[in-house]
Amino acid sequence: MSGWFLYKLPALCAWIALLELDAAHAGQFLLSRPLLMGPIVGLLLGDWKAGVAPGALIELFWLQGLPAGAARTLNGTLAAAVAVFWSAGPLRVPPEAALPAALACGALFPRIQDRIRARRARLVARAREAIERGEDPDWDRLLLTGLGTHALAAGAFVYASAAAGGPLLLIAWSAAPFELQEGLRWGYRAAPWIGLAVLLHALGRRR
Amino acid sequence: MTRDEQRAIFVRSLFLQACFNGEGMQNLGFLLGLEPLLRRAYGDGPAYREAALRHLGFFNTQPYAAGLILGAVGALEERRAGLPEGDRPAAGERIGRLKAALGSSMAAMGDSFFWGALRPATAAWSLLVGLALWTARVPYALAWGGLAGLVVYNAPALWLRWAGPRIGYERGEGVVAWLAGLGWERRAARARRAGLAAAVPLALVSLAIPPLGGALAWGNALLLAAALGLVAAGVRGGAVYALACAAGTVLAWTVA
Repeated sequence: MSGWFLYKLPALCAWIALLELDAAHAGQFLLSRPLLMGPIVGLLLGDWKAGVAPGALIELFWLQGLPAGAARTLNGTLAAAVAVFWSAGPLRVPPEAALPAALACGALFPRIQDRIRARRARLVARAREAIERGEDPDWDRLLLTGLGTHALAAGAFVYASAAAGGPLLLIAWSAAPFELQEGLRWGYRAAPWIGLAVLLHALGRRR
Repeated sequence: MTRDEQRAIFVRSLFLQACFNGEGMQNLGFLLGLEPLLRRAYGDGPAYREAALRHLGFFNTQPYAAGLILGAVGALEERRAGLPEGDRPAAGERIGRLKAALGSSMAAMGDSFFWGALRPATAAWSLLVGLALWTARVPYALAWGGLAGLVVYNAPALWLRWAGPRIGYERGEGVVAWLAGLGWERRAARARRAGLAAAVPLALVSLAIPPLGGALAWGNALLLAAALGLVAAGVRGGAVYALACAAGTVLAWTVA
């Protein structure tokens, strides 16, 4: 188990952090969409099928959010990764508990992202100073800093969620009243229909 | 615009949001993308520095459409570089106003087409194709569905990102009229209809066949209808899910 937390999980988090950059910072080829991220994380954990349901559900829930740079919506990529880690990883958290908790994690990350974006004003200042001095901005360094900070934060976030959040979630689940557990099971059964409703509405609206 | 310049702008535009910041938003990424054309217009020296500093101002647009603006602004800067010194400040201001106008109009167009129409449409088709292939017992069915969606989505996106700088450069200010002539709203509506063509059968099939459907079809149809009603009323999907969990909890507590 310690090998999982010391070696495997950090390596997986590093992959996820790199892929997550595709969501809004580099490329935006839709590789980081939950529909793909879920099975990819499942594959990295040895069972790609386990990532399909959480990935598909979060993808559908997230369709209403704009991955535009300024938009502050739930981070579906990280939510899908965390959901699959919890349900398909060593902890085997029930999916009806993993999904809402993962969505909550995904909603939390944008606050961290806001702080990173505020600090990036320094990069603009650095570029400005270089140009005023008659030099070229060190673009490689600026890009590496911009992307690297975000990737580091995303990777650390997923690690903390998977390593600490997972065990806490299991404890909370086992301590939860039966009625709450049943309610979450019911919500999980309804989730595909809610996702389909979001999809139908997104496609059926006029504008 | 040379092929090398187009390639350089295309690659650089992929990192438009790499240094996204709260104050200037895509400003650093925009300057990175514009640099080859600014060098072409001004070379090195004070004129280049003045133009580069000018383009560190606020900028935000849909990332796939940024290439069009980069090309158009690059062409205008080149024209400005050929003006007498006294005419340059006014030309610089005009470029700034046009850049801002292009940014917001491209943002509206791009968000509506790519995020609002093409993305959900490809999600629907990915799921339907994956489900169909899975039913036909094709190996890696869901992966094929995902791949199909990626190809369908990225084809127009990559085309716009690659061709955008050249089109913007050749048309300059005329790029606005060119874009309007493409009828993005019509295309977005078509993409949404194409997506519905997959989403409706997907919903019906999901209602009919296990593991989602089958014996519970009517109950699930009711769930789908209720969820659709809430979403259409403006409730976010996550909030509907939370409501469902809350309703289930109350039901379990009541029955117990």
